[in-house]
Amino acid sequence: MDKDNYYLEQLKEGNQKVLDEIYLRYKNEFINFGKKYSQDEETLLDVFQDCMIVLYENVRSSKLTTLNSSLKTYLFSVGKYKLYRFNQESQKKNVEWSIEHQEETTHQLFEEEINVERMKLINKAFEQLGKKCRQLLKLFYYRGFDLEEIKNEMNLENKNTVKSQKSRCLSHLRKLTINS
Amino acid sequence: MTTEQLIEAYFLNKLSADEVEELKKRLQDDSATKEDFIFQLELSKVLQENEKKKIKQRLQLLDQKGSPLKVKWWAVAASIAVLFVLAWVFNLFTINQQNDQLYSAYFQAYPNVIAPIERSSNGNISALQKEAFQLYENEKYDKATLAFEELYSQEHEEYARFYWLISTMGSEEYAKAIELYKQNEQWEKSEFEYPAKWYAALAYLKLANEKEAVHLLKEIQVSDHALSKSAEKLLEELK
Repeated sequence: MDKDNYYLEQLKEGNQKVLDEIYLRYKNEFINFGKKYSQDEETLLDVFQDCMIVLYENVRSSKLTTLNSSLKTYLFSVGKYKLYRFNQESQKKNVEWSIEHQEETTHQLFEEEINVERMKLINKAFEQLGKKCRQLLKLFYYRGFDLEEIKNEMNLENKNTVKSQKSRCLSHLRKLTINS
Repeated sequence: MTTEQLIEAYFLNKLSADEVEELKKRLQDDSATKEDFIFQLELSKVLQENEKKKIKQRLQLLDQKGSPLKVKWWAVAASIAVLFVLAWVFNLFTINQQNDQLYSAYFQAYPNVIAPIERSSNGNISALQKEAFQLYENEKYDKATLAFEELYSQEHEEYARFYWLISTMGSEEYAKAIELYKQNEQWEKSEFEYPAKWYAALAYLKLANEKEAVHLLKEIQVSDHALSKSAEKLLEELK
């Protein structure tokens, strides 16, 4: 368990070497475990990689801060659920396997109005932003840092500075997106 | 809470179900704010997807690296080098925004390149091999060019020729790279077939020979090689 907590801490810091370590540690075991659900090793490997992504994202975004069980149990239960879903969906016909499912599903508002084409433009525009803006937006929208945490992380003056920078970065990004 | 506060808390995952409902209601009545909200939603998705892609790539590379096959590490080094040099070559000649994007999409893989070489240095690697790859990794391409040339003349192995070719590109000798590509008729029998085509295509682009570049890229595109997607993307950019 101590080791598991150490893993979580390191993942939280963004140490991807630890991610590699966890992956290699449980990969084979997972594939054996998953054989009940699927015989295809590639599928199992793919699913396990997705479990690692769920783990990493949930830790990074602070959705997962403590484990109620061992890390292995956590990973395997995410995997089990994914495999279960996978079997259900492949019965329906080859629906593309999605890694959207995030254990703790959040209420997604207006999900249906998301525009994939615009996402591509945003992606392009994002890279044109300055380094600071990219960092700030990533901290907020990906890592789930609140304004106070961003202030500390980026050594900014106060929360209001963070707030105004954030909205400045966003509106710059919007302009870039529209112009592209 | 103001709508602004609700939105902020939404993205930090701090809203209760009731508050989410409240936000939904308010946004439905305010189309400008809603539009703004959806933009933020899309941004957060983009960032998520990008990170996912990187991690997936990382783990896939790890699987290749973990393979016990002895020959494999060349392939790993090659595929990592492909990603790395791909980002770097793009930097040389495309518009900045595209580079940055590719760069950040692919550069992630680079640190792994050290591991295969360290591993091989335990044994079964010649001093010359080691030297050549070290020069290569340290971006001393002028010297790496010579080392790989020497290595190739000793061993006649495709990997040496492949890295020789990339090193010449690192030294900005694009015509030489194309010559190396063309002189060899063995590419198709080696695992470097498509990577070599890819670099040759990039060299052609650098020399403004779009026709030849497109020709090679199309071959890569229809292959089942991992580079086919990159080729497709590049072809699209060239349109």
